[in-house]
Amino acid sequence: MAASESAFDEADLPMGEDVLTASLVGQALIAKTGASNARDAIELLVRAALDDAEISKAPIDLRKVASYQGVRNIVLKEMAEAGRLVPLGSGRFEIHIRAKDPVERRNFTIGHEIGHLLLPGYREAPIEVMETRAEITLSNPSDAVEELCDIAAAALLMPMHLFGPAAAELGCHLSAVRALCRHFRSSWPATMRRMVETNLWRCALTVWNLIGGVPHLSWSFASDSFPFGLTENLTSRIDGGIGQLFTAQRSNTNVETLEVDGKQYTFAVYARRSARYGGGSSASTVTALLLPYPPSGRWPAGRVSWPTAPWGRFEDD
Amino acid sequence: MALSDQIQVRRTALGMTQAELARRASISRAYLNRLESSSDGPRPSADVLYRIASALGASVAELLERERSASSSSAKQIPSELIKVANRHNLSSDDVQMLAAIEFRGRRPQTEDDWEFLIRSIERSTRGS
Repeated sequence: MAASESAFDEADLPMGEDVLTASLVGQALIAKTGASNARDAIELLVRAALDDAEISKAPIDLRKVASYQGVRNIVLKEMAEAGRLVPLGSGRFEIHIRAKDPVERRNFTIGHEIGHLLLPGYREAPIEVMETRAEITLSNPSDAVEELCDIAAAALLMPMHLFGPAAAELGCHLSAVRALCRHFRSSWPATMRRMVETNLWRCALTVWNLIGGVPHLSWSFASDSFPFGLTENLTSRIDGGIGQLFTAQRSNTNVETLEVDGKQYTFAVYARRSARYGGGSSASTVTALLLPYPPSGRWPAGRVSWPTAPWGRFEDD
Repeated sequence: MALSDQIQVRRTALGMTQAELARRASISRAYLNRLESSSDGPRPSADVLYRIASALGASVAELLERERSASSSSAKQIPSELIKVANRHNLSSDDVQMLAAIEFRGRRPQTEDDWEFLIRSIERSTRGS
């Protein structure tokens, strides 16, 4: 195994809700908004920012939202980092975005930088923020601030009061993801994650990388009703629905059996391959939505009882 | 500084006519004139504000002076006498803010002549620097 293919570690797994809420910035958010957890607090702040800019439909005009938050300019630059938030003094800011990124990825990065401006404490002592992650939507942040800014970015691009009803109408499958990406000008992984966050379906977003010729799970994010805890040692077959994407098609819908908690379970897999950005790597990443299959099967109870979605009824398709 | 003054000061500092700013912001000159003429003028929509701010190279937050009032409780009101003189000298908004913060032994310039004298003195003392 090459050095660059080292096994992922705990830091690759998304931060738990409780960790975010317990963090200093999480507590400040809760104090500021009165929300019960950090994620809801961010969603409230984002909604207020959108209302402030009188934005009520998608695609969201992020430049306008940014202007209301004190951003004078959003500049595309040739640079290594995905984005940069530059204080200009007196509450004025500029955002620099990596020019070579696809527009959907740039949108997410702009949303991420606006997220910094929404967090309590930043404006009181603004410093230049440079995003060290090669790309923001597909790599996991190392601290609560960055994670909350990612949440803010998703909430800005795909506000739940607009995204939830649209997702509920379209259902959980690849063509729905494609339609939502177009409507909200968002990337595939960000859109898939938002679909999971709606809690409309019993599903998980998973991100796979090829290590030693074997697809390894590097990142996952599950809806409240998803019945499994996915861990970083999960692998898939190279000739399976996920594995095939590293060598053949760009996207597919398949059924795949994975070993979870020592048992074999079958999942409906909606997956797509994308290039991994930055770091000189030309490797691919596969992003997949997993849904227990068949939907009517007997599954362990989820982490909370469902239906839980406040945005619409539970749909078990 | 009221929104009307913010727009006027920034526009004149950029050497822009009302007609030019109106064209860049895709609004009528008459509407811009009403916006600039009175702090009790029409309340522009978020879209219009954004277009005006962009045409002026500023953010909406700057036009609304959010940051200054939020982050600096000592932010000074801009006297109308200063605004008039600042327009004559095409001063930038930042310069106007700096001047508005000036106090000497607890007193500030009061009349247009006072401000004129102060600005000329600063210009003279910084010439060539």
